[in-house]
This record gives sequence, structure tokens and C-alpha cells, in this order.
Amino acid sequence: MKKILEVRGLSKIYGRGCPQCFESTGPEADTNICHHCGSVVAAHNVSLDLHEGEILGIMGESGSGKSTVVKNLFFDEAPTAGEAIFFDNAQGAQQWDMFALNAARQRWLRNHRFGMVYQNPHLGLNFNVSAGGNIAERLLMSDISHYGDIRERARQLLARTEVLIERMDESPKKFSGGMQQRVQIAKALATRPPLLYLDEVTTGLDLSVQARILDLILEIQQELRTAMIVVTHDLGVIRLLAGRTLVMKYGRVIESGLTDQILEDPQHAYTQRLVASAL
Amino acid sequence: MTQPILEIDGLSKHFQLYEQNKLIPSCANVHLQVHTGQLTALIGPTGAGKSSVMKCVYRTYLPSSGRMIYRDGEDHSTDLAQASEHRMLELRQRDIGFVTQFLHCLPRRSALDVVCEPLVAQGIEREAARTRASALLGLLNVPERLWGVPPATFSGGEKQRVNLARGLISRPRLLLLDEPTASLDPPTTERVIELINSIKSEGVAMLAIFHQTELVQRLADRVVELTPPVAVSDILETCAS
Repeated sequence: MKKILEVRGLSKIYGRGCPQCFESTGPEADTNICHHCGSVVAAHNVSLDLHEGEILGIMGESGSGKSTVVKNLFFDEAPTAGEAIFFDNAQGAQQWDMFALNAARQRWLRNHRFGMVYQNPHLGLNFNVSAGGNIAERLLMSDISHYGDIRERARQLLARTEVLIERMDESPKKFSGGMQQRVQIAKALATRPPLLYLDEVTTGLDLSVQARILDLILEIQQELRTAMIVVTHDLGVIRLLAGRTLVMKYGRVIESGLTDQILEDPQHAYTQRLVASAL
Repeated sequence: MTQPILEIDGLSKHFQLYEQNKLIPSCANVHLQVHTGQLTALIGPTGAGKSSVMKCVYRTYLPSSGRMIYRDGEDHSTDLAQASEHRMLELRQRDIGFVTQFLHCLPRRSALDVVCEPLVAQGIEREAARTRASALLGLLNVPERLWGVPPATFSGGEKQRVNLARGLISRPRLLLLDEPTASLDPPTTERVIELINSIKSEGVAMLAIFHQTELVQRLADRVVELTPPVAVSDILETCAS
């Protein structure tokens, strides 16, 4: 299996930051707020490797920094420190030092090679255009411009994610929560990205809808061999989707391992408590 | 004498439970060898750590100490206790199969697709995989009307058969079997014995837990007996006195 993403020492501070920020926050300090300058250390020294076709889970409570990691990797935010290398094997084995690229190049990667599905559909979809239009937007950004081709590809994608084709010209604002997530997934997949980020995609949906979205994600991973980073606080989602898992607390990775090992033989006191709290 | 495919040397496992502030020993100082085309049986009373040894080999548990040397098809040795997560995933996909005591599988998948999983993961076409899965389910006496149904509602014995079929279908180099016949009726147990003997002759190495001595006698080439590890509090008392 080839490596597709390598992240080293990723850190993100909200606020002006000070030299004591990192040492005065974290699981031992039991806070992510630096008491010297009041900055929030959302992530510190996060490192991970992702291989082609693999699903990596990032698990932790609200505020643990798990979403911050994928937001940085999708260029929604810029990290305070750290390095990320994206290995683009489809493009003749190119390597991209992600955070050193200029804005145009980052936008290109985001539109062509990465996909993101947010917990909140408002972040991932444009509610002023139709479901089909949302997909067309992403295809246009990635250099497909023939109207007929775009419409046909949008139709295929919506059919694949089980969105009723008859509704492709309606705004997603009229859709149910589960349908909105399906449109987001279709949009993210439009450019056949080798790397997909999923941020709490099933949180807040009812159980039967959750199950079908998760099944869809697994099917897509098996069909397209898309590598994914799945951020969730839900142990069930981790168990179902992820082969390996990172556990985060106060912006730090406190434990990582094979998912079955994390769930059956957690090493860290916090993970033990988290696993014991599962319903 | 050929080299063993798996050699466990001084393996121990204990659980440190922070919430209860306890150290629970699970298995201690285990030595064993598994050879190609042979079956090593793990025996011993409940609580002796037999399943823990298996879970350590599969790395569902992180071993506390000891070495577990696995030799792959290219004669490379890997200490499973130290192997990287990606190496373990690769070995699980290609080399090492595990039939656990109870069936764990993806929900909402038909029995047939559950059995197909290992083949599909290796890149074999789903239709070809289904054909092989059907043959195996038939051989294990799983009624055909159940093949299209998710195993969630199956009886214990039916689940066990699906579990076995999934473990046997991809012919791993090393197969871990945790009480594979525990809830099977006598005719099906006989079928399983035939199957185990047949994959043995194909060169599959097996590490298996059995409770029936008769099965151990019929199937095992080596027998390793485990005894329950001594509780830490007992050690402390012995030291104190």
C-alpha cells in the first residue's frame, strides 16, 4: 500500500499565542486554553500517516481538536506549525508540501484531489443553487465545462448516492438532513478525489438514516478505494469504518492503534473511560 | 527441521485498568510454535489466557512483553509484538486469519457477503467470491434460504458456521481458531474436522483452542497447556510473607 498523506507536527493556535502555550495546555494540564495569553491550543504536534484506500478514524470529545486537523488539511484554515505531504500517485507520483503551496495551488488541490463532507451541510453546499448545480459548481472548478457532460455526471453521482434524480433541480434547502448529506457526498466525490475528509457526517441524523449513509461510505470506499479521514465522537462509526484510529484530547493525540485494539485494549486512562462510556 | 511459521517466546499480557486502579494478568510466559501444515492446540482451564494469546497474535491486544516471530512467504521475519499498524493490516489481509469465538461482522450484509469479505478485500471479483462462499456455506450445512439474510438473527450454531466459512475461504497462511466447534452439532463438527484436515494438507498453519479432548487428539500436532497466571496481589502477598 502506498502512502498518500503524511502529516508531521501539525499545530493550530487560535489567538495571539505565546512561548508557554504548548507547555501550559494538553491532557496533563487538563485544558486547551493557555493561562498566560488566553489563546486556545486546538491542536499540537499531530502526526499521522494515511495509505491509499485506507480509512483512518480520529476520535475524541467536542473540543479535542479533531475537526481542526481536517480543516487544516482541507485548507479551510492555516496551521500555526507543522508539515503535510500529499503524495499524488495518479499525477505521475508528484509530492505536494501542502502548507508551503501558494493559495492558487492549494485551491487546485482542494477542488481536484480532495473532498470534504461537513457535519453542517450549510458549509459544504450552496443553498442558493440546485442539488445538481452544487455538483456542477465543483465540476466547473475542475475544468469540465461541457453542459451536457456536467449534467450527465451530476445525474450519475446523485443516482449513486441515492438522491432522487427527479429532485436534482431543487435547492438542497428543501431536502431532509440525510438527503443533504448525500448531496454533499456526491459533490465531494464529483472529481473522483483520492482523499476524502468526513467531519461528523452522521451526527444529528436519525439512526436508520445514519446506517444508510455509513453503508454508502463503505461501498464507495470499496468501489473507488478512496482514502478517508473520518472524524467522529461516535465509537460505533469508528468501529464500522476505520481500520486505524487516533484518539485526541485537548489538541493532542494521546493514543493511536488498530481500531479493534483501541476499542478492546485501550492503553490510556482517558480512552478506557471513553470506551467504557459507550452505550 | 523447518523453521516454524510462528514462534511465541515469553509472551505475557496484563491489563492496566486505570478507573479501577487494578492490574489484571491475562496470560504469562507463554512459549509455543506453529508449523506450516500443522495444528498447535492451546488447552487449559477458563481464564488461563488462551484467547488472549490469540488476540495478541492478531494484535487486537497489545502484548505486555515477549516476542511473537512470524515468518512470511518471502521468509521475512516480523515480530508481531512490535510490527507497525500498517504491517499488521497487511498481514491480516493476506496472511493471518482469525475465527473468533463469536461472529463480529458488518451489520446489514447478507451471510454470503460476510463470507466473501476476505476475498473481496484481496481484490477478487464479487461474483467469483460469491460462488466460492456458496460452496463453503453448503459444505458447512448452512441452509440456502439463509444465505441472503444478515446473520444478526441466526442461531449460535449458524453464526459459528458463517464465521468459520469466512475464516477458511481465503486460505490464510496462518489461521487462528478460537473454539471453532463450540456450538456445532455432531454432523457439522465432523464436517469442520474434515475441512481442517484438508486445509492442513494444503499447508495452512493453525493455532486453535479446543475444549473437547477428543478433538485435540484427532487434530493437533502439538499441544500447549496454559495455566491461569498468578494475580498481582498474590505475588505481593508472597513477597511480603
